[in-house]
Amino acid sequence: MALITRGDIPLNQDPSARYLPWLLGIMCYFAVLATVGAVTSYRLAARWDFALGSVVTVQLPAAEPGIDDTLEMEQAIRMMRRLPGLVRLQRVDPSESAHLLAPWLGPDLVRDLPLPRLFDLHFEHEPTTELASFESRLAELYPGVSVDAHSRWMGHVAKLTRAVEAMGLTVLALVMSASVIAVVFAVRTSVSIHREVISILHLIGARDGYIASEFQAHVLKMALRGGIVGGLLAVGTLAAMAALLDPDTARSPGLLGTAIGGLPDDLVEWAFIVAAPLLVAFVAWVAARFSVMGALRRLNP
Amino acid sequence: MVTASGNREREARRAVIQFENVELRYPGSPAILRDVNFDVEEGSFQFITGASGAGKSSLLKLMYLGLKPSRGRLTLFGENATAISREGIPALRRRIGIVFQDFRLIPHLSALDNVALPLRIAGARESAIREYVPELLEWVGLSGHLDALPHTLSGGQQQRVAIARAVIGRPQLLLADEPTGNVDDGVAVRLLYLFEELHKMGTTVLIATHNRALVERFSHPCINVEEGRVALVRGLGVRRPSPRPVGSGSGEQADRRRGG
Repeated sequence: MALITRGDIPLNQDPSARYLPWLLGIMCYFAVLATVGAVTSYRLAARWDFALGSVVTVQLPAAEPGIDDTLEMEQAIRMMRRLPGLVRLQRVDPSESAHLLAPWLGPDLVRDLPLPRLFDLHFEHEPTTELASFESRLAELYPGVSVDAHSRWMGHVAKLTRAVEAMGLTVLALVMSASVIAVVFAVRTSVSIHREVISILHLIGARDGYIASEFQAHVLKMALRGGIVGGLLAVGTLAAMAALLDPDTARSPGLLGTAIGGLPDDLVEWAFIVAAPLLVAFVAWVAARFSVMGALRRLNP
Repeated sequence: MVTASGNREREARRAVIQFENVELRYPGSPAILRDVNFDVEEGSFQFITGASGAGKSSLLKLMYLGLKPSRGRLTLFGENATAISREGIPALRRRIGIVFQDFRLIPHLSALDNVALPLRIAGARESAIREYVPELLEWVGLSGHLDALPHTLSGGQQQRVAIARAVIGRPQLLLADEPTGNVDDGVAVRLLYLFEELHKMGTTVLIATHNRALVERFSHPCINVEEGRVALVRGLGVRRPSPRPVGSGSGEQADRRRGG
C-alpha cells in the first residue's frame, strides 16, 4: 500500500479534490455518530433483553380493610414458587412501591392508600410457562390479580432498539456510499485534468497500478485528514450532549450514559469510534483504486 | 545445413522491430502510412528522414505503441505488437527510450525528477537515482540545472533533459523524434555523438529528423518516408530501386518477403 505520495502527478494543486477532505470529514462525523448509535442500541437491547426479559411481576390487589388474607397470600406464594425455572422470588418492599408512586399521587395519599402487593419473579430464562393460565389460577384466590411478563413489553422496546440499530447501520452505509461517490467523481475529474502527465507516464512505461497508487495515496491522505477532524468533532458532539443533558444520567456508568448522551466508557465503543475514520479512509482508498483503474482504461483503451 | 526458414528465424531473432505490410489510417481519413515493410536490426543506428508531414512521427508512434497499425503486422522485440494486451504494453515500453519532438517533460517536476522518472517507475532505489541522474545530467551539460523546472530552461536545455530521461534506463531501443530540432548545429552534433555513445553500448537507435545536413555528417543507414511510404536510403542520395527490409542482408530475402 502506497502511503507516500511520490508527486509525479501534481495532485496537490488539483482544484477538483480541494473540498474532498471536508466532505470526507463530514461523512466521518456522521459515520462516528451512526456507529456509536448502532453499537449502543445493540448492546442496550442485549442487556435489557437479559436483565428484564426473564422477570415477571405479580401484582396482588391490596387486602380489603379488616380482612386478613395471610393464608391466601401464602398459597399464592407457594403457587409462584412452583413455577418451573424460577430462580428467585422477591417481594417488593411496600415502602419502595410507595416511594415510586409518591411523585404522582403525593406522599399523603400514598401513605393512606392501600397499595397492591408486588412480587418480582426472576427466571433463569424467559419464562416458558403459560402465564395466562397461571394468572387465571391465581385469580381464583385473588380476583383482580395481574401477572406482567416484562418480556411482553420488552418485545416492543427490542423492536425500537433494533430499528435504531438498523437506522444507524443504514446511515453508515449511506455515508460510505456518499464517500465512494465523492471520491469517484473527484478522482475521475482529476484523471481528466492530469491526462497529459498520465499519458507521459504511460509512454515511459508506467503501469496503471503505478499511476493509481499515486491517486490512492493522495485520497488516503485527504480521507485520513478529514476523517480525524470529523471523528474529533463527533467525539466533541457526544461530550457536548453529555454536558447539555442531565449530568447524573450522562455520567452514569455503562451504556445508558452513552445512549442518552455522553462519551463511551469502554474500549469496544472507543474502538468503533477510532475505526470509523479508518473505515471511511479505507473505503475512499479502495474507491480511488477502482475509479482510477477504470478511468485509465477509458483514457487509454 | 542452414535452411531458408532457419535463416528467417535467425533474422527474426535479430530484428528489434519488424514491419510487415503495415498500414496506418484514422477512421474516415486517407492512410498516413501504407505498405510499410522493413526490419530494424538489433544494435543498428538509423535515421528516418522525410519532409514535415511525411509520416516520420507516425512511424515512431507505431514503434513505441502510441498507435496501433490499422493493418499488417508489427513485431517488437519478437512480440506481435498488434496483438499485445494492454497490460503487456508497459513492460515493452520500458525497453524503449523515447525523445519526443515536444519533449513532453512533466512541468512541475525538476530536471532531476523528470530524468529520474523511468528509474522510479522501474522501482529503482532512491540511492541509485541520486547517483546516476546527476551524473547523466552532467553528461548532457546540465549539471547546474538539477533542480530547475522545465519552464525555466531553454528549448535546447529541455531537449537535453528529454534525452537524458530517454536514456537513463539504458533502453534496448532509443527512438528520437527531431531530437536536434531546437538546438544549434554544434549542440546537435554533440547530441548525436551522445546517441552514438549509447549505440556503442548496444542500444538500437532510430532518429527521425528532417535535417539532411546533419544526416550527411554520419554514415548511418537512412529510412526515407515520402507521402506515407517507406524507402531505404543507404548513405545519402542513393535510393534503392524498391523498398526492402533494413538489415535483412540480401535481395533474396526481400524477394521472399514479397512472396517471390
